Amino acid sequence: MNKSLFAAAVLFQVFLLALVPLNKISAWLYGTEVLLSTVQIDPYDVLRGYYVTMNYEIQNQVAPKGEVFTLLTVDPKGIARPASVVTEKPEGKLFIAGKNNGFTIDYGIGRYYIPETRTKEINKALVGVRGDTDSVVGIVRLDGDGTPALIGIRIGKNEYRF
Amino acid sequence: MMANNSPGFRKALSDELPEWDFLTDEQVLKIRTLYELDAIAEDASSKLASIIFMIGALLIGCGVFAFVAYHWEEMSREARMAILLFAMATSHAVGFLLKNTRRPRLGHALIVLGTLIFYASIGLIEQMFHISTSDRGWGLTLYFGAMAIALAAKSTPNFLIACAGLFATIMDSNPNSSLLLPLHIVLVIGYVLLTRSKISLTAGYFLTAALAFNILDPFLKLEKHFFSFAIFFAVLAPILSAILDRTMKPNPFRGILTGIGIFITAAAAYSLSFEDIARDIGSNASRSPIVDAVIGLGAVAILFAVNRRYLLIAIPCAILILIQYSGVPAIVAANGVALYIGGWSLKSGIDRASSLSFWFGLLFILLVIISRNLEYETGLLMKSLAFIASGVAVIMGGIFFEGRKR
Repeated sequence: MNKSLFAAAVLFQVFLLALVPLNKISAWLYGTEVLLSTVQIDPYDVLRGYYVTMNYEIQNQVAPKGEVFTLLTVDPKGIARPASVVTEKPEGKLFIAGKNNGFTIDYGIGRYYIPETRTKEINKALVGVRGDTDSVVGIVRLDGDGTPALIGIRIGKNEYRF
Repeated sequence: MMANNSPGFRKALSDELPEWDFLTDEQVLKIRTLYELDAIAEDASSKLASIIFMIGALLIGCGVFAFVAYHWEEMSREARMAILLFAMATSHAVGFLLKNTRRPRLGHALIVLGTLIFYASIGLIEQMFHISTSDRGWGLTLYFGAMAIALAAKSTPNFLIACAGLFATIMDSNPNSSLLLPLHIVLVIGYVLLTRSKISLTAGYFLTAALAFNILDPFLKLEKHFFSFAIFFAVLAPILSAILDRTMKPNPFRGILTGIGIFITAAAAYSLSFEDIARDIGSNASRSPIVDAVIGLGAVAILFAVNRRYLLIAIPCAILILIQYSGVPAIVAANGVALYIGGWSLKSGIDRASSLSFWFGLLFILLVIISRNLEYETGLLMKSLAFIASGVAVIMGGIFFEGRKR
């Protein structure tokens, strides 16, 4: 087995790991923070652990198939609401980039992973606010291209950032 | 070079050789050296050791997955990532060192563990950044990462992990990059030629078919021509074997490629033998017979041209392509083709003393008979007679096979 070739293969694996979060980094570090209203359920992924599924209000807009940009306006409660959906990247406005798969617009922020030790607490909080409008919101950062990074969730008055 | 290096043959030869008192000691030694008969016992225990080490690696890998899924809040993200990267690098490094020294099987298992930790690291990063799996790139990331190690270390488990990643990508997110198919084909061919691994060829072949279908479907509307597409891949396998017959002597993949062709043809015939499926395929008016003819009959014609030995696959495939439009009459022909393939495989197994061919043929015939009995509403007396007749025929076949093997 060739040492250099094997070392190159291992470094390639590390390089691939660096690529995984690449398109989220700028939003994560420098993005504009907005609140997006959601409805949630609480399943489990064998590799990544427990998570809250985030179904956003902005997902169910009428839009052409493919890449779209949803323009956002912030309401008096501080929650970003969908204004319209366009296919060209807007300038000078608040927007989020997504992809319409024919059923719903996917923004890549559909899951919020939570520690196993906090699942009961979060489940209880979710049950407590069930039925209340805007009681569960996603805390999202948006970069200049509209790429979103989900950095936390707010359930009622409590914020969770893991 | 050994003419026949199958473990069964070598074991039988090793058992028989002491009885051949007509050979000189020098001739016996030459035969033992040529067929590496002294290594047989070592091969068996080596395989067992490999399996034990791989199970251990898999268990540790599962532990790492659970560690990631636990989502340890008390430990910072950076610390978790550092632990996994260190574990991955260490596992690969120690594995590499051991593989080149006295413990190659343990080393190989550690290299596989390194890739499993790589997979866990992908999950950790997605968890850290809350990347939704609908954003999915993890399957392709796993595919390329595992494939790199597979090629560098000639590791079939890593190759199979890579295949699993690509399969998950096909199932979940429908890859639409047209570069992926040719790249995948090159990687599979490269790995198979490097290692001569038959299991890798089989996995790579079926995965190529699935990937080709997903990528080409939007352009060629292959969903409507799925049956012809399956026949194309049934015929492609012996075509590849015929090409290899001319470039590699001997062709180590002839058996496996022929087997793949027979298996897919048998599956196609079996599926068309069901009334509901035959009606469904036959009544689909939006299909183009020209596309079916080009995909299916074109491949059969090429096979016929490259090697007439494979007529036994070409003829059933041509019949299946032609009958698929006929609706109910297709059922009769499909059953005939299915029983023909089963019978030919059974006979081939008896002639060549091949247990695999024999059992495949026998079990396939049984499957077809049982399916027909359960599918159609026939009288119980008729079903009773059919089952008894089938059972007697199977026992007779077994007696005949046993007699031939002796």
